[in-house]
Order: sequence, then C-alpha cells, then structure tokens
Amino acid sequence: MTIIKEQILIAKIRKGDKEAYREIYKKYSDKIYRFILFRLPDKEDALDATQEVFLKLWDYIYNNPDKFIKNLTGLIYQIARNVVASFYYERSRKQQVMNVDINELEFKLKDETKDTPDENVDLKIKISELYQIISKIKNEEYRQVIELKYIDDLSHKEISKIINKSEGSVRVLLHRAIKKLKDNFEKND
Amino acid sequence: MTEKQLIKNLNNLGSSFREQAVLKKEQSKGLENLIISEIENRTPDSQQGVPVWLKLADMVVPESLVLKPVASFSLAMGLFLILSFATINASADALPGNPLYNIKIGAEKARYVMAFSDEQRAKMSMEIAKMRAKEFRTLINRIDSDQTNSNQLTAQQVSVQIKSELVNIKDKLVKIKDNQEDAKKTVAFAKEVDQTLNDIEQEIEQGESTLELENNVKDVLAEADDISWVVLALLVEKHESGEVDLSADDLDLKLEQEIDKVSTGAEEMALENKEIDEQELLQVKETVAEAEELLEQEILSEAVAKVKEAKDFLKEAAVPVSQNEQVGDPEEVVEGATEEADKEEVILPKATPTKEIIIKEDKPEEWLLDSERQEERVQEFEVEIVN
Repeated sequence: MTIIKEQILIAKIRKGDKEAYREIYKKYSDKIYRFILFRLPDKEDALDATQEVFLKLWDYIYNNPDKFIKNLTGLIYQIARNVVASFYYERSRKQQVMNVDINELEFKLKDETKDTPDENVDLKIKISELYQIISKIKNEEYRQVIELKYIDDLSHKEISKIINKSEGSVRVLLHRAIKKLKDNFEKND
Repeated sequence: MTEKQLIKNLNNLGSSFREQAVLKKEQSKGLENLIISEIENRTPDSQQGVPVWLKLADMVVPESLVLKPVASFSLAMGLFLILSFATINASADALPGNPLYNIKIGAEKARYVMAFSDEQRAKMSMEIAKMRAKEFRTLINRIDSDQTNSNQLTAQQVSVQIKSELVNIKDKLVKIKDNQEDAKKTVAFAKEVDQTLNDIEQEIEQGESTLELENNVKDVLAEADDISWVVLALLVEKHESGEVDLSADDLDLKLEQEIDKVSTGAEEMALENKEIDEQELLQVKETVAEAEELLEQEILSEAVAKVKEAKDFLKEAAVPVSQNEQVGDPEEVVEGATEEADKEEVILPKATPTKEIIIKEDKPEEWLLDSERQEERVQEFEVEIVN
C-alpha cells in the first residue's frame, strides 16, 4: 500500500469510515494473526488477540485526530507486541510457548525435500533444534529480527519500520543475530 | 552447520510455520465483521461524513505503485489535478513535523507570490498569521505530554513566524494607507486587519503557554498591539478628515480598549518587574489619564497620540535597569550616538588615534529616555575625549 493511500485511509477512518477500516484490516489481518500465533500458545488466544489489536488500532486512529501516523505498519506491530506482552503479563507466564506443530512441520519437510531419506532425518532433527534455540536467544533484538525475517517473512524495509531502525541497521542486526544463533547451535551440538 | 545451511533451515522453519498459520477465509471474514460491529457499538455516532475530495482521492490513488499503463494523457492530467487538490486539502490541518506541512507552506508561498497587490498580499499574510496562531495553540497544548520537548521548540519557531507575518501586515497597512486613494477601501481593510488581530490574540491567549514560551507570547502580543494602534490611528484620521463616516461610538470604544490595555500593561509591569522606576510608571499613568481626558473631550486624534506616547514609554520602561547598565555605559557614548544610529553593533570612527569605541545596543538605554541626562553625559564624554 502506498503512503498516500495509507494516509487517505487514515483520514477517512478519522471521519468514522468503517469501510476504509476494512481495507486496513484486509491488508494486515493475515500478517498480524501469524505474528501473534507464533507468540501465543494457541489459535483461540491468537484470534482473540488479533481482534484486540484491530480494536485498539481503531481507537488510536479515531480518537487521536491530530496525531500524524507516519508509519502505520510500525504502529500495528507495536500494538500487536503490546497485546502479546499483556497476555503474558496477565497470565504471569515467564516463557513464551511457540505454537508450531513440530510433527506436521517435519512431515512437510519430508515431503518437500528431494534429498535422501537419511539426510532428511538429519534435517528434521536440526530444524526442531533450531526452533528451540531461537526461542532461547536472550538478546531481545536478535530474536525479534530473526522472527520478523524468517517466521513473519517480512522485508528489511518492513522490519525497519516495525523496530524503528534504518534498513542498514536491520541488515547489521540480522547478520549478528544469525552469527549468534550459529554459535548457540554449535554449543548445543 | 554453515551459515548458509542455517539460513536455509530458518527459511524452511518459517515457510512451514506460515503454511500452518493461515487465517481461513471464513475465519477472517467472521473476525472482520466482529471487529466492525464492536467498533459500531463503541462509536455509534462516528460517521461524520467523508469529504468528497477524500472519496475522489481514494478512488484514484492506486493501492500499489505497480500501475496498469495509463490509457490517455487527459486521464493522467485529471489524476494529477485531483491528487494535487486532495494533497493540499489534506495538508490543511498538518502541523510542523508532518510531511504534508511542507506542502501546506509551499501552497501558502505560491499563493502569496501570485497575489498581485499589496492588499492581496496583506490578506494572505493575515491568513497565514491566523493559521500559524492556530498551530501555535495546538502545539503548546501538547507540550505536557511531550517528553522530547520538540513541541516547545517548534512552538517557539512558529511564534517567530507569526511575529514576522504581523510585521508584514503592518508594513502593508502603512503602504495601503499612504497609497490607497479610496478611503472606504482603506478603512474596510483596516477593519479586516483589526478582526484578524483579535482572532490571533484569542488563539494565542487560549493556549496553555509555558514559562519558556512566555517571552514568545509577549513578543507576538506586543506586535499585535502595535498594529492595533496603527489601525486605530488610521480610523481616527479618516473619520476626522471626513473622508469616511465612522461611528463615533465605535471609535470611542476602541480607544477606550487601547487605553485599558496600556493601563493594565502598566499595572502588570509594576507587579512583575520590581526594577522599574516608580516615577516612570507614574508618568505612564499620567499620560493615560491625559488620553482619557482628551477622549472625554472628543479630541480623538490627540487622545490617540497620547495612547501611543504612553505605549512607547511603557515599552521603553520595560527594559530592566540592570540590562541598561550592562549595555549602556555612559562613558562610551559619543556625540550623535542615537537609538537609530545603533541598531546593531556599530563601530564608530575613532575619536582619538588610540581609542576605538564600540557601542552595543539592542534595547534603548534607560538613561537615553531622559534627554537632559543624555546631553549631560554626552558633554561629559566629549570633555573626556578632548582630554
């Protein structure tokens, strides 16, 4: 969505136009649901949280007519992050539990790979290890960029908007995060 | 595991997750309807009506930059015009810091340049000054919630712009007064200026200003006050010359307001600034009393002149004594050093082969107000130079 289009939709929403809000919902709902699902324990919670994100976004845009929203993508992801954080805060859960069905994941990898069965088994093991290792990265920024890049499949530009850093900084951060992840992986071996 | 292999695995992990984490169509639609109905419950009166230009702009602005080839030149031109119109309209409420603000300023400048007469330009300046005053009010009302202090700095810049536009309006008003042959038009224009000043003063005074912005607010209001007097003098002049028949009651009322302003200013100054000489304040009060007397006798032009005298005196008295002492060392004044001569730092010709005299002056010195004292000190200094 172009910046002008986004600003026009925001202006319409501020006039109470719900159809304009539907457009914003359609553009972001899948991405936000995925973002939340990866960070919450189950699909029901993820659906509730997605609804909460979009209601909070409406409230923010509609109730702050003088505030200039320069970066809508960043704003939505910020709200989503806050919703996830408050979910864990409310439930007093210290560790995030990722919602990926490992068995199904392995099954799909087995189907897709063209390598030999032995190599395939190795890969399955490594993927599940990797999955655990990502969740254990202590540096919040590193974990965030890895998740945004590889799990949420966002471009450097989109990530830069979300974490409020330049594209160059995102590249550097991602490079360091991969290096750290590789070290952790090797230590795990 | 190599870095390349690690990235490949990360991509595999991500794509597998994304395949699982899909919001089904019916799920998505259900969630969408749930959200919209919740919004309707929360804000039942929210539909204020979307302006036509916004609807038009929404229709023509593409979702993404990957456009189908535009069929004809006219369509492209139409698109351009609607977009320009929409963007300029959208920028109308933009504040400094918003990218649309530059468009707003650009549009204002373009309109100012395209104005063909002093009157048109003055009207543009009035519009701009009113707009800046509105922005100023919005910015200062946001200062409390602003941790970066940026709103305060921007508000300061905006106040400087308001003052500059007011100076512009004053220049144009004087020009029009001197050049406009049609007295009725001049008077109508002066009244318009007066109304603008009232609007600006209201905007500025309604905002919750901070201590840091106090001087900026004072500067703007002082400039508005100056113009207000110019308007009054012009109206009285045209009324007394018989060129335009104005209501004497209206003029009396305006003059009374001006007198009130000076009286209130003097009282406030007495409360705020203990360094002000009591005698000076007494003199202001005496001049105000004279103006009131002249007003009672319906000698309006002289009453206006007295108001001006009191205002000027008040303005000069407002410069703290300590500041005067700092900049106005009487030892350094040479003959002919008047206020007009020393607007900025002035290096005077050397009075003696070894002595260069520098006078720094940005505010009128207190002792310069008293002409007798001034002469005495100049004479003292001349004696010193000769010696």
